[in-house]
Amino acid sequence: MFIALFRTVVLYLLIILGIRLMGKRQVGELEPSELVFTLLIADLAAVPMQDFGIPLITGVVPILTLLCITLLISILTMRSVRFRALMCGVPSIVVRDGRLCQAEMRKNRFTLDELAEELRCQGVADLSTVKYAILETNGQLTVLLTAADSPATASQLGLRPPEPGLPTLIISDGRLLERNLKGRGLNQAWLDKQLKGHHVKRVEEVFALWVDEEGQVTFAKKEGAR
Amino acid sequence: MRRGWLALGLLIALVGLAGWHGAALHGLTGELTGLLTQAEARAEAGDWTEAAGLTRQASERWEGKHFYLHATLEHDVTDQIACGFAETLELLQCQEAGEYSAANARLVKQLELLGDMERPLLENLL
Repeated sequence: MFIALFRTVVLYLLIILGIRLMGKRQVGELEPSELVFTLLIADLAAVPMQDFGIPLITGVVPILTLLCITLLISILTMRSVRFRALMCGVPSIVVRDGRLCQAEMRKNRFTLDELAEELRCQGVADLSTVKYAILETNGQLTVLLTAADSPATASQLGLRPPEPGLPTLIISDGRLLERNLKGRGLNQAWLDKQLKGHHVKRVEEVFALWVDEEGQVTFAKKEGAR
Repeated sequence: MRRGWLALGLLIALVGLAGWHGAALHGLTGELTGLLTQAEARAEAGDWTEAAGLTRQASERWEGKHFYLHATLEHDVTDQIACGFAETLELLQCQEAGEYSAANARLVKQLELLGDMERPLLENLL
């Protein structure tokens, strides 16, 4: 039993290290080499974890090897455009000026149904409104509408709306996040004023309190709080 | 970039260790098969005591590397060889010429196969 426990801990920590080194990207956004690494390590770790007749090193060595190779490939893809194109491929334009690029679709084995589905998902019903639809290297479809069909932006309309910036969470489920409070340049007096303004006496009665860069406060009282 | 050098260094170290392991295992099994072959020759000449001494020497050499072998090789393989040594030593004690010869040949072959298993040969790579 101890052996199983020990092996599980070692291999588990090793997989966490591997995933951590891959960064914070989601699986759908992984490079092919990273995706392969992710798919393989779990299997490699599971075999010596279950079979005590196999030395632990037979699980550790392949995982370390894969980790090193994946890191080296990632560095090479960052440094060399050619290598990146080789490893990750290049984006393909499947719709240009409202016309289907059938050769590119065939090359990428991208069916008409898949294209229609992707366009629907992005709220596009009319193909003629699409200036470009680009199949990205991570498998996602980027749809760029023609200028006439794109929603007008505030700057195009000559408007200057306020810039709220990034909202910062000050109170999370009854707990004051002092670091965020100070980081936003606020203090206890400001907080007390906000609580009083929302008819609340204590921080514990607040479910969430955000403040944006304009000082705009979003407040949610805790349900059931007295 | 530091992470890249680290990965490259680790990869080189792993390759080096794997190479060293293959060479060390081949050397060990070669040494043991040599001792067992000598022991068989002594047994065929009727010198059972010398044959038993050589086989015991090989067995002790194998047992001396127990941790390393157990940590790097499949346990089935190392256990089979350990059992093979015990069987061969017992047959030597009984001076059963035919059975000893068969058991010794089996043990020698197992060791040879083990030594070849970790060598960077094309047949192993494929």
